[in-house]
Amino acid sequence: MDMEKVLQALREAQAEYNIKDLDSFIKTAWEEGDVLQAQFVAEMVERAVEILFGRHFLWVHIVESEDCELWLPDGWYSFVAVHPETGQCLTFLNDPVYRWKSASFRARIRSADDAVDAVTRLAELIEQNLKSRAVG
Amino acid sequence: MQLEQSTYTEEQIKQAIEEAWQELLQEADAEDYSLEEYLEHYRKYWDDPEFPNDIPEIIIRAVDKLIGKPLAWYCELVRDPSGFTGEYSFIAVDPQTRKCLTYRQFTFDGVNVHYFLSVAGTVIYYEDIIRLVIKLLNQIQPELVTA
Repeated sequence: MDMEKVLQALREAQAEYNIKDLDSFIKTAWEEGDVLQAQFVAEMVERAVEILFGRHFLWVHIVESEDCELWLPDGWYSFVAVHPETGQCLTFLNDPVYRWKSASFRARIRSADDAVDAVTRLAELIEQNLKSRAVG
Repeated sequence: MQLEQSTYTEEQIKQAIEEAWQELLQEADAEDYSLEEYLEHYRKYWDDPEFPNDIPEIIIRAVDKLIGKPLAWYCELVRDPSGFTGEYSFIAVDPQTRKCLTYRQFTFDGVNVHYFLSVAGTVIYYEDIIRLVIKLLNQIQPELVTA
């Protein structure tokens, strides 16, 4: 994945969400346990990926939390992307290490650098799935 | 409880749930206690972060057993500002075709299309587990046939 394109996509997504300082915004989301802000981080990552591919996908994400009761974000996020026309899961990963194949992509996003890394890896996974055999 | 679009009887579903539960007990090297006993604790402590919540695992394993192959899964414990709601949201993917088996779209008015990626249900009692397994089977089974 071209790093310059990833950075450009993140900048565009950041502008759409009217976020001035990306690093500080992401850090606040988990340091202060702000669920709403963490939701925006997840949505912005999704949007950056869509900008990279020039199309929309269907998304589900989880803002993860160590504390089930208080729901304080711990900086970990899970994403599922599905192709709206074919119904293909684009975050499918066949990891031979684990018994189960995974339907989701998981990333720690606690800084702007983490966000760049997450968008890059998520986009690469989606690209791999798009290139794989189409669903019947 | 009716099983529309499914070839499984309620007895088969109960057996799959029981097998899944026994597997979990064995893997955890835990004492032999019933799922009903576990659910009694579950109802008291489900919001406790230390409580081992095995409900998604039981449901996933039961569905995999009944379908006859392991699917790729994603499960969310649904929360609201007051904590875990007791609702679970499942996404299932066929590993061969990568098709999202819980994906569906429909329209109420013929104009606006609504997209759903997951199948969700609340679990409080044993019957709720059966109900959710049936709900998942009813969604997944026809999709597997056409995959």
